[in-house]
Amino acid sequence: MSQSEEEKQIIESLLAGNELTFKQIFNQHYSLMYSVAQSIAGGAIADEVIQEAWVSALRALPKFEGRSSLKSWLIRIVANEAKTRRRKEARNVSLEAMQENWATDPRFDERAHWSNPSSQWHGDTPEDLLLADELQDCLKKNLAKLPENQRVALQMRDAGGLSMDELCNILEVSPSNIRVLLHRARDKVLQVIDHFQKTGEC
Amino acid sequence: MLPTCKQVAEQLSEEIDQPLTGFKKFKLKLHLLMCVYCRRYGEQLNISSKTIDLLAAKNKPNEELREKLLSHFRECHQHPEPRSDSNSDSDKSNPS
Ligand SMILES: [Zn+2]
Repeated sequence: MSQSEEEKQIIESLLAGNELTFKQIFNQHYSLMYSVAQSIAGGAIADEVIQEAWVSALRALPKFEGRSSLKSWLIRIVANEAKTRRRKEARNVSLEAMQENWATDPRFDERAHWSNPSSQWHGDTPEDLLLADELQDCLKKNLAKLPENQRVALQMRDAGGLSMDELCNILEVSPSNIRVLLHRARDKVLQVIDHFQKTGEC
Repeated sequence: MLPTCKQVAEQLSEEIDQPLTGFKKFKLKLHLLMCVYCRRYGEQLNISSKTIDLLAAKNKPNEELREKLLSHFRECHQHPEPRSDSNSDSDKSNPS
């Protein structure tokens, strides 16, 4: 994969010390960097992690070869930095355990058909749904409870738009395992929204 | 044999990342045609995925952090704007 012209210019501009470019790139990648830092190290030190990551990134930038996109390079640095600061008790559920939970998911009957399907939702766009502050809080709370590997995969893919290849590389997980992580995480989000739709409560 | 709802649920997530093809896709479509619950699940899974995107977009850049890093960035590039023909002493020249 070769580096795009646009990205080359951005990097040259950063190396030349262009402050405007730095601001733009900082702003552009902040939300994903934050999500990833928060997913791994927790919200309380997410900004510290981002700071450390940027300091490392700026130091390493002259050696950046463009084998990945700038974004995926930055996210890898954040993820690594966050891992060194990770809370000791980080909960990582094994793939086997995830498969087992799925195998016994009570929403399905013994023929693996829906016995307890999700309800019809009133709001049908993310914008509609997030109008409810309670749901926003509820989602954040439940994201925090997800196993770390699911949460990070979800943020990188659905919030960050990183490709499946990039996810496999950064997380060092096989494509089939990434698919499991993503499905379980999305399924959890769906269940949280569904519960909120039915009860108006978290 | 058509896939079960449970298999379809997983395939619908796969579809978000990389659409299925061939016979597998055909069987998925056939199941969806007959199963309102899975159709609904597929739509809701898409909404859920997009909701995570929107939620993350609400993380607004921390301005204090940006200013802190900006001054670090400035220090990394001590030498002021490359003016006229002042060559830096480093071997790596920075084209402006
Ligand atoms: Zn079905």
